[in-house]
Amino acid sequence: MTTARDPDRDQALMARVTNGDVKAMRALYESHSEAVWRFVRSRLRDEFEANDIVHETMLTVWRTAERYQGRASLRSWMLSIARNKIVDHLRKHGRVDLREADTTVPDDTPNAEIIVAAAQDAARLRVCIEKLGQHQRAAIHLAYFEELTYDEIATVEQVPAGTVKSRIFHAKQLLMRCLTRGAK
Amino acid sequence: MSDTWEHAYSDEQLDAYVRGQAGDTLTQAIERDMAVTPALRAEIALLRGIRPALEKAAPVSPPGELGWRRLEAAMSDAPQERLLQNRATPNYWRVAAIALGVAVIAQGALLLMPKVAPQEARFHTASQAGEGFELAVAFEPDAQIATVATLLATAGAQIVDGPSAAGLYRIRFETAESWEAGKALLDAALAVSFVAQP
Repeated sequence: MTTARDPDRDQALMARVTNGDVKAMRALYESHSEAVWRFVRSRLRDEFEANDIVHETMLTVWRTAERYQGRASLRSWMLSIARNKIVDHLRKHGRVDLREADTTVPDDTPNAEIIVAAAQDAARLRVCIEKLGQHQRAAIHLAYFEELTYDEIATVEQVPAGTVKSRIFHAKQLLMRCLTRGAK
Repeated sequence: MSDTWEHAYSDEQLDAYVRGQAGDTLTQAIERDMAVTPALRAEIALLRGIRPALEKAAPVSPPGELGWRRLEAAMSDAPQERLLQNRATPNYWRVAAIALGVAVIAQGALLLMPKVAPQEARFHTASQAGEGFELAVAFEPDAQIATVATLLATAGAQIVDGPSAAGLYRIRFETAESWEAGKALLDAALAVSFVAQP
């Protein structure tokens, strides 16, 4: 489980990491690597590639610790580094998804009672989340798992906050319809 | 989407409610409306379901201890930018270069002085007659010309040679007293990075 965030502790640890403190880096790794890993897994399906991205992300945190200004939360700073690593990785392997998230919504009306029941079935909802586009999936993950604000998500994804809002809106519509269709 | 799928709450309000961070008033309002608004009921159910679904989305465990060991090994080979920046201007190389420069000047002076002395005279003025009261100095790279000029004037010194390849200047004083006082002044000056007797 992702460790609860403690901004003051993060700041103190980062100050030590900036001075080359390996123990502090380990503490940060233990606090944040799983969250980074989960985020990367929301974008990359290959476990080994995800491990490599997490490794590169944490190594960049170590090497460039002094660049962290404390304006954003440490978690969002790390996730934005991870996001850039993912983009570089996909580009390097010719798997760049230049499409914006699919915002087309099937023309069928969601059924509230079916959704209420289906949303409690984690496996079923997970299948629906997996069907989302990469950008929508990442936005849903950051908003409802990492509990980042829209502004923080915008920083991580390097898009305007309005784009984040739009991605989440359409993702929710698609999920509700997916849950409804799954029951038919 | 039909009107039955509209409700009065923003994403931020619903997120706060699902996270248990909404105030009493908002909580009561949402719960009251959930009873009569299917769309709201469905959206709240969806939001509550996302986290458990995502928790099970990646059944394989994260890197953990093995990941840390891999990172620790890589860290030892990946110096921090802070250290690289310091390394970009290594002081010990500078000191070594300056010391070498001083040695070259001193040795050159010893070897060449008898032969070039008559020729050197054409470069010296009568005011520099107090030959022998000299120092080799180097100034900080960011030292202002005006600062250096003021410093030398205060010390009562004049530049008679330089800069060498190592950035050294040879300066001369009129008297032994001014040499000693000037050396102390230059030793303490922030704009001066190196002072030595040639």
